[in-house]
Amino acid sequence: MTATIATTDALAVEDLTISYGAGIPVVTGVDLRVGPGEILGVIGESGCGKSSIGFAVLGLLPASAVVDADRLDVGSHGMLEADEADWNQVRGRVASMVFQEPMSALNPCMRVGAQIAEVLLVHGLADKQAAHARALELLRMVQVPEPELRAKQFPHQMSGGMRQRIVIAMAMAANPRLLVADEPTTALDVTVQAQILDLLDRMRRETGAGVLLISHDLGVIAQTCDRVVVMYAGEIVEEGEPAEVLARPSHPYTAALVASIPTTTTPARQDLPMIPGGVRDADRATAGCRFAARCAFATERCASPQALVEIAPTHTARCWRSAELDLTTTTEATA
Amino acid sequence: MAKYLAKRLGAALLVLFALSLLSFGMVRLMPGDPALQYLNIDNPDPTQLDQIRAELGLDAPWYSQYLSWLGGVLHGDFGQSLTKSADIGTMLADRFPVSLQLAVVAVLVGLLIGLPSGVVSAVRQGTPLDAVIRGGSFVALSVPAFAIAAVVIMINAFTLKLPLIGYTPWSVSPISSILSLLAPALILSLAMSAVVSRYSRGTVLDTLSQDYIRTARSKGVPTGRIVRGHALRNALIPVTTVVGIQLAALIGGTVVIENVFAIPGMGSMLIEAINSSDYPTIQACVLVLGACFVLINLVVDLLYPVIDPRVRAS
Repeated sequence: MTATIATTDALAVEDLTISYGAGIPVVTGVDLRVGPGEILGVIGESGCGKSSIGFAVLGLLPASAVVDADRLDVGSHGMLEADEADWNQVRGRVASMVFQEPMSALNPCMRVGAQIAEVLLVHGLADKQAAHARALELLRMVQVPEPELRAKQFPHQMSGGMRQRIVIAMAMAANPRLLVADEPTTALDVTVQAQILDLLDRMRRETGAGVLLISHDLGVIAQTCDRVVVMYAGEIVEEGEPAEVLARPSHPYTAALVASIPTTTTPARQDLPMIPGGVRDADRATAGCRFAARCAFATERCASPQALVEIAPTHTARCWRSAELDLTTTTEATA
Repeated sequence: MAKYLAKRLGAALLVLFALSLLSFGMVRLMPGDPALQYLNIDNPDPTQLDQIRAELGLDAPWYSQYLSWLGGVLHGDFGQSLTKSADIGTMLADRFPVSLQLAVVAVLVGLLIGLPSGVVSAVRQGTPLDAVIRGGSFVALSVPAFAIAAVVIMINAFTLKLPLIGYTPWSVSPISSILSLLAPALILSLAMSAVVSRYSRGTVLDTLSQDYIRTARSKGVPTGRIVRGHALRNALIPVTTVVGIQLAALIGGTVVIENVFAIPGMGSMLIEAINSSDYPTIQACVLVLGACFVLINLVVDLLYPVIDPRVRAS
C-alpha cells in the first residue's frame, strides 16, 4: 500500500482555550503543530488538560465544553466553525484516535473485522467486500497473527495488547493525516507497551500520518517522540526535542518531573523524589507562573506573566529564571 | 457451551422439583379440611369422613401422598377436582392456552410500545419528548390495570359499544379469538410497556456512555448509526430478562383483568380453587404457573448466548 506523504501539517492549533461553562479554563493559550509523519508528545500530570486537547482536536469533548481558538486545522480542514456533521466527515477519515483502555474501547457484540471495516463503509471509501479485504490487510499491517481468524472474533477473545492493535488498525483504516493517541500504552504490560509504541512509530513512517501522543510517562515520550510539549495546569511550560528537554530542562516543573523518575541507581528504602502539593484551581487562574506555589525556585517576579522564551533554536520554556537556573544538576540521576 | 446448557437445564430441573414440594406442602399447611369441603354438608358423620379420607388417599402419610401425586403429574395426571367433579388436566388444557394467549399478546403490544419509546427517550434525553414519555410511563405504571379496565368498559358502554367482554376460543376462529382478547391485552400491556420503556431507557443511556460508543464516534459514525449499530444490541441484552419475567408474571397474574372481562384463564381457575379449598387444583395451578416461570427463564438463559457473544464464549 502506497501512501502519499502530504506536506501540509497534520494538525495546527493556535491559542486553544477549553473551558466548561463559566468555570476556570482547563486549557489556555495552547499552540500545537504536528507535521506529517511527526510524533509530538504531550506530557503532564493528571488534570493538566492534555487529554482535553486530544479530544478537542477530534471534536469529541462533551457538549458542555467550550472550545475557543484562533486556528484549529485538522489536516487541511479548518474546524473552528465545524458542526457535528462536519466533524463526522473528518473523524475516522482525516483524523482518528487510539484510546487508553483497549479493554473497553471495542464493541463487545461486534466482530473486530466488522468494526475495522465500518470506518471505510461509513465514509463511503469501499464497498462491503473491499472493506473486508482492507480490514484483513490492516490486521496484517498491525501484525495480528491469523488475520482471517481474528477478524471473525469478538474483542473478549483477545488480550489487551491484541485489542490495542485492533484499535490502531481501525484508526489507520482510512489513512488519516492525524492520529491522536491518548495514553495508548498505560493499560498494557511493559513488554507489550514497547511493541505498541514500535507499531505507532512504524505506522507514521509508512503512512506519513502525524501523531499526537499524549502520555504521563516520560520514558514513553523520550523513546518515541520527535518533539515534546510539557503541560502544567492547562498551559505549555516547555517545548523542544525530548533529548534536549529531558537532559537540560529549563522549567523547574520539567526538572522536577524528570527527577521524580526512580532509576536502578535510586537506593532502596529511600523515599522517592516527588513534587510536593498538587494543581489547584487557583493556580490555573493566576496571571503569573502557575507552578510558583510548588516551585523551589520561586521569587516575587514569578507573579507576573511570562511568555514562552527561546532557550535554544528548538527549545522554549516559560520561566523567568530559566537563564540563571542550572536545572541539569537535579536531574543527573536520569542522565 | 454444552456445559452452559447442561448447567441451565440441571438448575431448571432442580427448581421444578423444589417447586413441586413447595406447592404440595403449601396446600397441606392451609387451614380447612378437604374431606369436609368435599362432602359439603353440616355435621357430617365421622365414619363417613374417614371413608372419604381413605377414598382421597388423605389417610396415607404425607410422603406417600406426595409420591403418588408426583407420579401422576409426571404422567400428565393431575387428579380430580374436589368441587367440580372434573379432571384437572382437562381444566388446565382449557384454561392455560387462554392465559398464554392473553399474556403473549400483552407482551407483544408492550414491547411494541415500550422498546421504541424507551430508546427514543434515551436518545432524546432531556428534551420535552423524553419528559412526555417518562411522565406517560410513570402514569401507566401507577394506575392499576383494573381501574383502567373499568373506565374503558364504561366509556365503551356509552360510546362505541364494542363487544369487549367475553372470550372466543381459538378453535372457533383464531382471528376473533385474538380480537376478543385485544382490549384486556392492551390494558395489561400498559404497565408492561412502562416497565420496558423505563428499563430500556436506562440500558440505552448506560450503553451510550460506554467507551466503545466514543470509539465509534471517533470513527465518524453518525449518531443514528451509532444507536442502531452499536448501542441497541448491547442495550437490549438485559431487557430480554425483564421481558421474560413479565411474560411469566402475566400468565398467572391476570386474575382481576380475567374477572373484569370474563375470561376463563388460569388466574380465575386458581382463585376459584382457593376459595373452595380444592387442594388438588391449587397444587396443579401453582405447579404449572411456577413451571412457566422456570421454562421462560430457561428460554431466556438459552437465548443469552445467541445474542451476547461474551456468554457464548465462557
